[in-house]
Order: sequence, then C-alpha cells, then structure tokens
Amino acid sequence: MKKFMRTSMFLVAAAMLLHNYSCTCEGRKKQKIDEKDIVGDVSPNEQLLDDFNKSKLIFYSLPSPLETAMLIKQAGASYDITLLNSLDNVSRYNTNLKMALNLGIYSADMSYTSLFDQMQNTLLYMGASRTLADQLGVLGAIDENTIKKLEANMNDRDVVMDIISETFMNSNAYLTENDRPAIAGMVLVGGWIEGIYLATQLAHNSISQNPALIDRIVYQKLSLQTVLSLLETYGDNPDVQYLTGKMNQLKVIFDEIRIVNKSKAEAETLPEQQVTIIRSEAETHITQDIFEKLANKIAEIRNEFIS
Amino acid sequence: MKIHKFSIFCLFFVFIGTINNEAQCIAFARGVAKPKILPFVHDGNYNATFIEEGESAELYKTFFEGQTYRLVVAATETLPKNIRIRILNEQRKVMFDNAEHGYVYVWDFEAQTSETLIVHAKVPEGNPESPTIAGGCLAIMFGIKSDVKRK
Repeated sequence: MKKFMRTSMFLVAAAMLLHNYSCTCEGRKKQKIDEKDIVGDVSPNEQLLDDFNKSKLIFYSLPSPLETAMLIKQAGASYDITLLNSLDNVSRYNTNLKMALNLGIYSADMSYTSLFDQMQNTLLYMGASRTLADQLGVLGAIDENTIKKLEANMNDRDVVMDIISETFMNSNAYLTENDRPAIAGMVLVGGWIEGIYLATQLAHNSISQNPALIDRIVYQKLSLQTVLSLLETYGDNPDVQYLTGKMNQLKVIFDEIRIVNKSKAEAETLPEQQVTIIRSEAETHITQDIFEKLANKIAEIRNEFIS
Repeated sequence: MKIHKFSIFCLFFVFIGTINNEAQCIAFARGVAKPKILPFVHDGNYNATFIEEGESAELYKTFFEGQTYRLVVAATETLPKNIRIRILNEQRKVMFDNAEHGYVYVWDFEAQTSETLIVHAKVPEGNPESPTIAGGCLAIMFGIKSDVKRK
C-alpha cells in the first residue's frame, strides 16, 4: 500500500511538472509585471491593473518575413536579386544556430521574391528553406506537396503568400511545440534581420531618395525592443546570448534615432465596419550619418549570419 | 509489480496527454483560427497556447502606419465563453475592448501611426464550486490586408 502511495505521489508530481513545463514553453513566459512598469500617462482602471499583475502568458510577435516584404513593396522599393542570400550557401549551415537563422533569412528572401512576382526564385528559395527545415528536424513544415502546390499556383500571388505564411507558421509551431522554442526564436530573428537588411540596402545609402522606406526602417526601432524581449525569454541559451549581443549593438545605433510623439494615441472605433482606427502624431529624426552607421551595422550582422 | 506496471501506464498517458495539449494547438490554430483571417493574408506568426480559465495572455506587436490588420482570437470550446480582449498601447491606455462589442473575437485595426500595441486576452474565471479547472487552446493571430499591386 505504501508503495502504491509513493507511486501515486510520484505520478501527481510528474503530472504537475509536465503540466508546468508545457505552460512555460513557446515564445512566451509567465511573469509578474511590476506595477511601476504599467503606470503611464493614463490611469488604467483597477480591474485592468489587477489583470496585468496576475500571472500570464506572453507572446512577442515580430514582423514576419511576409509582413516586412509587404512593407518594403508598399514603400515603393525595387527588386534586387543580388541582395539575397545565395542558394549555394545552404550546404554551409551545420549548426542549429546557423540553420535556424538562415531558415528565417531564406523565408524573408522567399517572401521578397514572391511580392515582386519572381516566382521561379520563390520556388528556389522554398527549396532552400525546405532543406534547412529538414536539417533542423522540422517534420512536414515544407514537403513535396507544398512545392507542388506552389508550382501549380505560381500565377496566383494570394495563394503563394498563403503557402509561404503556412510554411513559416508550421516551422515555428513545430519547433515551439516540440520544446525547441529558442530555435523558433532564432528563425524569427533571422527573418527580421534579413527584412531590415533588404530595406536598408534598397534605400541606396540615402535618407532622401525614398522617405517612405526610411520611415519603415526607423520604426523597426520599436520591433527591435520586441526582438530583445523575445530573446530575453531564452536568455540561458548560449546562442541566444550571442544574438542578444548582436541586437544590443544595433540598439546602440537605433537609440540615436529619435521618435517623438506629438500627441497621445487615439482610437476611433467604427462598430458597423468592425474596425478601429489607431492614430497619433509623431516625428522621426534620423541623420544621413546615423543611417549609414545603421545600414553598415545591419549588413555586418547579416553577413555574419549567412557566412 | 502490477501496481508498478499500472503506474508506468498512467504516467505514459499523463505524458501523452500533456504533449497532446500542446500539439492540438497547431491543428486548432491552422484549422479554426486561420480561416477566420480571410480575406486578409495571415502574417505567418504562430501564437497559440494551452491556457486555463482565469489565466490571461498578452501579445506584443508593432503596428505599422498604413497597414490594416485583422486580429483573430480563437479558443477551444473547452474554455469558458466571453474571453475579454483588450488592445492597449504601451502606456496601457485601452484602445479597444471587445466587452463593448459583444465579446467579438474578430476585429480590424487600421494603423494611421506606427506603434507597438498589446493584445490582452483574459479567460474568465470558472465556477469556484467546480472540482476541475477547464483548459484549452487559445490562438491569437493576425492577418494583413493585401493591397500590394502586381507590376
């Protein structure tokens, strides 16, 4: 009987351990938010304050490769195949860090080619992404059916974008749900750095040639904070520590760029259209010198990632 | 000896059950949440988790000026109804509260400024008399309005 009791207690403890583990993985963490961090220029009501103080799950959502490619395209940037990571490099990547970073980088390149209707290149970059996903042990994220579906719909950009977003989600979800969330985070960081690399290179070293594109780049300062928060979640991982160091180098330069809010954020909700418009006025300040420093640092980090 | 075998058997199922809780979320996100994003394009990010009644989740995302986003929150039927979704800016000012709109789970946001916003989803507390705690998958997903023109 005693043995049965001991076994039962062990089972309960194991179940609790497994349950806790399952709830603290993925791109999130349970944490308490200090009250001082949540007091801003408005006074949230007490219930809201209470909700924030309770234990919670946190996601950090970076601009995905697809979103960044859309931002680049909408800003009027052009297509330049010479900027993409060479497909020949795929065989070089033999560590989890390099495979994960370059899975993100190739995903970003694939998104960029698809937005500019370079479908043959989209297929090739899908192939490279598949190679790295397979090497990372991400089963089924990109398979033969994915490639066939892409080939069959090469003239339908909406379907192509859907396939790309699906494969990116599959890789991310597989890694997250198989207790490799830090690797999933590295894929996201790779995709983010490639997106900002493409944007800075397409600005052709000038802050006046394409102000819309420069604006997109400047506001990546906000995304960088999300990148750092995501990495902090897996701060014990040596590869993540390496990436945090690189991102902090970027932060030093981004800190020289100023975003000044000229008015408080306002929201206008149109219930019938089920839409809320978010608006505020802000000014950005960046000099040519700072932009060049930023572009050079991004290129340095990205080239290290693809080497 | 029989008890020992029984224990291993139970442990195996506890383990499989836990794995399944997680594994179900991708299937749920892909099959239930993602279709609700249409006709917007899913951004490709995966934000889904196993969550229990009374718990809350937060998602940090930068919204970029000129973009229109569709937020979809989906929860398995095992979770209580009326999950409260609030969108806040970094000063915790509430920009949207689905409690004012019948606890709707799909809503669009037109960004006329670039700003990091926080999606806060709170699963209601369960019945305190109940001996069990309800749990299930919660997915928070974003779509982007695709208006990029062909060359």
